[in-house]
Amino acid sequence: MWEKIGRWFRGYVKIKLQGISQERFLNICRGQNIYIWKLHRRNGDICGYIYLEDFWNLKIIARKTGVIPYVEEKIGFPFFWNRLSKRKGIYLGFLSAICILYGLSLFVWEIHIEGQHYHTREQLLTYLEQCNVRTGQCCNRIDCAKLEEQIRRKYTDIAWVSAKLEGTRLSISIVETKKQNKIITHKGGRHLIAPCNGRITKMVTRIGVPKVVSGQSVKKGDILIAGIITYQDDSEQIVGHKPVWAEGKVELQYDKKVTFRTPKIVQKKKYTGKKHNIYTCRIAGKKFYVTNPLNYFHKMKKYDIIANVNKFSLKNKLVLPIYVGRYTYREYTYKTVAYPDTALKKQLLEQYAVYKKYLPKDQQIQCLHSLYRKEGNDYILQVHLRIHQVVHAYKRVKSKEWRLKQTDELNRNHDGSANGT
Amino acid sequence: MRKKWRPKDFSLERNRRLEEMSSYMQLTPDVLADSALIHVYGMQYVRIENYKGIIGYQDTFVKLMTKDGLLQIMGKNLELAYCSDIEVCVSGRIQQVIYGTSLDM
Repeated sequence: MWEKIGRWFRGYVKIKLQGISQERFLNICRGQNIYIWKLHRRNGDICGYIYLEDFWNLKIIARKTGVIPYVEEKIGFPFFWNRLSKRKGIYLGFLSAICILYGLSLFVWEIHIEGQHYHTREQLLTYLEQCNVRTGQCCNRIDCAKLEEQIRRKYTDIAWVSAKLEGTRLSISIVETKKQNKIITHKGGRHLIAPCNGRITKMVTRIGVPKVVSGQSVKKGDILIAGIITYQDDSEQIVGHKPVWAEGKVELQYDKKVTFRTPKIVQKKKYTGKKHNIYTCRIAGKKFYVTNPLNYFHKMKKYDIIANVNKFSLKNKLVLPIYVGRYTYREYTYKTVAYPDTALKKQLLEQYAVYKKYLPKDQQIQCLHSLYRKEGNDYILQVHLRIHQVVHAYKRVKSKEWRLKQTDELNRNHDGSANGT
Repeated sequence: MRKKWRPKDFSLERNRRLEEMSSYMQLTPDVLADSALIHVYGMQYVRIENYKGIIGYQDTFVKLMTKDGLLQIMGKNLELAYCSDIEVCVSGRIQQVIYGTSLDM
């Protein structure tokens, strides 16, 4: 194969040797390292193939032996190019292709943003559009330094911006500052309450008044640490109340039953091995297919489509608005599979592992016992868990809970006149 | 009648010695003796290395000169698949590979 391609690029001719001493001609060719192949007899003459550059050396041999080599066929790239060069349309097409390529290279065809975490790509692109920077914009009209400054001014949490134009690609790198945590202002008071039924295992009060003790059972919504502090004078009379944000470390223990289930018989996807590749090209939002994709839809009942389409670019510098790629259609059928018990147990344990992985950080679990059982088509794992949870549930302190009632207060009318005693 | 003087042919003796020497050196005979190496691939191909020249070529035979003498390949629709300075490949329907001494054969 490669040999044939190599021959075609070098160029070769089919010759016919006419004369008396043809064998002598061949022997001299052999002596001068002239390679000849596919020699065969035809009507008393010898025909064969010879490289184009060797053909010019046959002149002396032909004169010496009296054998005339006639050219019957010219094959290869040099002849092909020679034929092409006579057609002006080829040059015109080549020239216009260069012009189009040059014209396209004057515009920005890709905006690449990296380093953002808080700000989304769409958000930044919308702002860039407001700054007249968009795909298809002329490269000359983009001032990278000005753009950097504009981004820095707009987004104060962006510490560093770099914009550079590489060919037809605008690369914007940003570094964001760490977002400061919101300062929680403790306005008003909060009770610390039980989020669910359970038993208190540990209790440390920092601010507030403890309402329960360690080892006590509580119900959902019970106040664990009250967010009202009472002030007393020297005679231990209540002077007033103050709402506070109750603070403390309270650990609650409760039991929970969790059930994981998996079907024993499932419809599993099975690829038949039949697949079809369709090559596509997208220019200016229009798709062009090498073959008609609709031809293959009726043959395959169910199929996956795997798209592998990339923007056409030369070394990531010259990015053009052309998408080239391949769509692969893979046919599949559904097959009913009944899993064995061991595989089902493994699946259930995997589900349990995922459940444990995504538990909140303030929860610790302890497995008391587990049970596998069958229920219809399903296989079930029931786990009895004991959960130790740090309480973070709060309830707002209402004003009527802490305000003292003024018994000597006068009831007044709207006009200000006293009504009571 | 006086016998006509002819030069003694040393080539056979020389070839025999070179072949012996190459066998001592555990080499193939074609390395030192430069003898022809013939590969026959079924009935389709015959490849000959270390040939000296082409004596005759027709559809039914190819005559080649080697160091050991004349070599004739008989068959039908014979072609020279390629022909370089060290080897030649004959393709077609091969019927016979004959060693001969006469050029008129």
